[in-house]
Amino acid sequence: MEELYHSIIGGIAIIGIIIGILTPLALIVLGMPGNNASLIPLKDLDNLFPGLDISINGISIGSLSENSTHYKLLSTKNISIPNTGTINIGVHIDNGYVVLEKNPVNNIVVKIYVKKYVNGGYNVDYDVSSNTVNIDLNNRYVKLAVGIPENLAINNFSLDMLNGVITIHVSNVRKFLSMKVDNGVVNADIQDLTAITTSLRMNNGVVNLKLGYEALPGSSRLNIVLNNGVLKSTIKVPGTTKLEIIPSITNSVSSITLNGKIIRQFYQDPGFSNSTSKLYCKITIMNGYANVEFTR
Amino acid sequence: MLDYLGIMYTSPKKSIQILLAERRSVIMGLAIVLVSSLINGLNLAYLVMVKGLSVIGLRIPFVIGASVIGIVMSNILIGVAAWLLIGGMIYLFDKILQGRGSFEAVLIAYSYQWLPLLITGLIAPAYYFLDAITGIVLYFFVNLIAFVWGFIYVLITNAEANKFSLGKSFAATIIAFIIVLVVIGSASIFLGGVM
Repeated sequence: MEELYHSIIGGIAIIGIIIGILTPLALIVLGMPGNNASLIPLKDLDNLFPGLDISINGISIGSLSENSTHYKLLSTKNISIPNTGTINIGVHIDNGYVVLEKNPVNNIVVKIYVKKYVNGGYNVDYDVSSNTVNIDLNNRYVKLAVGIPENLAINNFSLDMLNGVITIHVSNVRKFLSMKVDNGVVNADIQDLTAITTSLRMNNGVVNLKLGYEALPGSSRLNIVLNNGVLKSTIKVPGTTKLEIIPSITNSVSSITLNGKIIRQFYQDPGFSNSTSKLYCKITIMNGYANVEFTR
Repeated sequence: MLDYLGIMYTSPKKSIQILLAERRSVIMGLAIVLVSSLINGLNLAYLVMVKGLSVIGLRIPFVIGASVIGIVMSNILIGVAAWLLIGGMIYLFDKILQGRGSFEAVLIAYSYQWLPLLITGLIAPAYYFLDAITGIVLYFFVNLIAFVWGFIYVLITNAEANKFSLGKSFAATIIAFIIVLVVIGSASIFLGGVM
């Protein structure tokens, strides 16, 4: 009896050794950060990263908000543009922080901030001409806030990002929405979307993407490619738009769901082929950790 | 084998008697130190290099790979060095207190300090479900428990290896620990001053 008792304890120790070695080894090799349930209050750690409060709560990536106390406003410009009804936006970031948001006024408002402790020059390249806004930011100490008139539709939106942080709160993107992220943090909420092509290509980084589609007038495409990194995406599709989802998940514990139901393989809504409003979705996840939720 | 390992946890006094009688040398002790340090190093590397870096969203595969190997290797090297160094110091104070154990016996006795860490490997999956900071706090809390647990084992096994009282074992062990802490503290202050 005593021998059995010792064997049980020894067995627990052996299991401890196996789990203790294999668990972290597997997680390291797969690069899986896992969930982020917190047992301790993290309020006091808000300023861990000066200038930004980034909280990632499990698979749900939380809010990414500016901490204005770390920045000082350098300049504000109101740029009037001809009211053509549409606008094109191009953003290139190599370090730095960009905020794009809707603006109730008819002008484009550009605000440049710099971190308080930085002395010396800053370099921001932005160009607003007729119906095009181009931003090129490569300064980690600068925050650029651009207000887009909310009555303008966005024809083309393109983001090319290598490190840095961007917050996007815009609406009414009509033709092309393209985001390429190599490292960096993206928090995007884009509503009233009717874009023909929407694409997110991501290598590392953290992306929290909320897309809200309007009823699509024809066929549109959504293409998401994740290669490492963490992606949380909620995509709202109107009931009249039929969906086709082609999932591909390799080396990753990720989930793609439609109204809470897991989509593991090719999926097509009934009546898809005859529908006049279609959304083709191709979601490719290689490594990393993603949660893509389609809702109606 | 299982009951042999189990008896080390349930009856350290009996198990060290068996180890010393069977002349299993220091290999057993070294194995415990190596495996425990490997478990500890891998979990720390995961918490810092995968979980920690994921918070800021930046991953540089080569640097992470190299850092993981660095953390695991340094954990193992520090573990083995601490085992030999503190084990040697305990042996020295054992001798001053008229202990009869050989250096080899004291090293086997001191390897029990790492024994609880083998079982704490069971907690590794919890790190996956926790955020980086909570995980690191849990990691140090578990290590603290394992340290106290292991320290009690060392008192028992060291007393048995030297055939003297628990009081003498406590005195020899605690003095060795205090000296090591004083040396590490002084070195940190000195290095802090230099830098």
